[in-house]
Amino acid sequence: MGQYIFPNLTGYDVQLLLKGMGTTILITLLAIAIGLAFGFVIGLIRSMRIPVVSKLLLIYIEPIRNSPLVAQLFFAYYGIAMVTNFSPSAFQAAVWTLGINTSAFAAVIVNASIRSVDKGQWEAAYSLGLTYWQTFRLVVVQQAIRVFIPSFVGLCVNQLQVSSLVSLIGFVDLTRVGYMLTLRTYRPFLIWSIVAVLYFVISYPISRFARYAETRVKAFGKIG
Amino acid sequence: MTFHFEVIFKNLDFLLNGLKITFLISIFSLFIGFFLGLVIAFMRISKSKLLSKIAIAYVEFFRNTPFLVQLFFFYFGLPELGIITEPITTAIIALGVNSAANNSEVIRAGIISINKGLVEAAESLGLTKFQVVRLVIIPNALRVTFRPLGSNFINLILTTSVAVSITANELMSNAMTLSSNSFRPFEIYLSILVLYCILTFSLSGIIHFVDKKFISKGIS
Repeated sequence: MGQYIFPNLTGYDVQLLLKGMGTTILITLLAIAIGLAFGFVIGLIRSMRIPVVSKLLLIYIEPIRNSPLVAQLFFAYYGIAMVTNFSPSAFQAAVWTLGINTSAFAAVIVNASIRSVDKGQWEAAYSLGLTYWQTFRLVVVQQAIRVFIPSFVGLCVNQLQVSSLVSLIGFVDLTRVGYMLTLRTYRPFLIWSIVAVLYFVISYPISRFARYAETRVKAFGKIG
Repeated sequence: MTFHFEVIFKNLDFLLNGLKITFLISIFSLFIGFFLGLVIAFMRISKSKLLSKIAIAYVEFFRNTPFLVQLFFFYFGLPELGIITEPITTAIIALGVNSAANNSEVIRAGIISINKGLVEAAESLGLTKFQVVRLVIIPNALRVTFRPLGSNFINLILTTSVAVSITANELMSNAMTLSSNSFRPFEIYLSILVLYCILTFSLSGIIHFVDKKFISKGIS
């Protein structure tokens, strides 16, 4: 058993793992920022229920939600460079693919949150003379956000997990660091356990928060 | 820019072989995921604190670590303990235990949603505990959870593509092999994306249809 106790792991490896953890967090945050920006706009437009536009946006949302992220990443990283002059770096491909992927899921959440607000609220605000934006900002957002936050935090947790897939296009995130360390130390059992624990450490508090937010929303729903 | 989509048609057999293995992996891991998920859901709601704690730990672990890391752990980590692994079997087991975590949450919600009076009525008719579970709780819970379990299954099919990392010869792996042999990644990955979309769209269509026609019939 003695051979399993950190045989070849050095302080430098620990540094590497922590750096990988930082990269994973960074790439997830960037993807979520892109996803939230695009997803908000798309979800908002979808919530207006404009006949043709709404369907057109589904053409953006549904294929992204219904195809594997691995294929999307490979397409963006290997495919696009092959037929255009633009060849994205692993970082660019990773962030943008993950971001656009997030945006499709975020759009659905935004749309559902806005639609969860009762129509009467809009009508009441209009009848008081508020414009569309005033109604949205002052009346609807306050209520929609309660539905939005738990789902969105859940999405963030999910995107953190799938961000590990960017290691497959060679981007050095936490998973890739783990892969490199297993090649060097030949201790896959130990290394993958450590990597799993590191992901868990980032992810668990966020998913606990999602759960907490969900119970709060349910409590709200019962009062209101 | 010229496209050469003929590379797809020339190698269609190769890709379809991959699709077969994707189906194989999906079906087997669906079974593991469903039955293990059922067991974990019952552990979670059981009165025994220990069983419920184990179930919670299981679900939290598998939901808060990436599937890719779990797959690497199974595929590269277990041989270190003397367990010999093989790509397709490893993919099936890893996907099965992973989706069991997601399924158990859905099934648990379904079980909780069952009216207590239904269970009490069954008990008062003299059914044993196991009969109540088998004849009353599971069928009713599955009715409510059919749709969410279906979307879990679609997710499972999409997740099989992660097995490309251990080259399990499923659809995505074969696509990768093909693209590195033919230098046509754009055409190949685009077709693969479309193929997965067709697969999941038709599957969700089927799930919707079955649910409407047979499962949710009579539920208001």
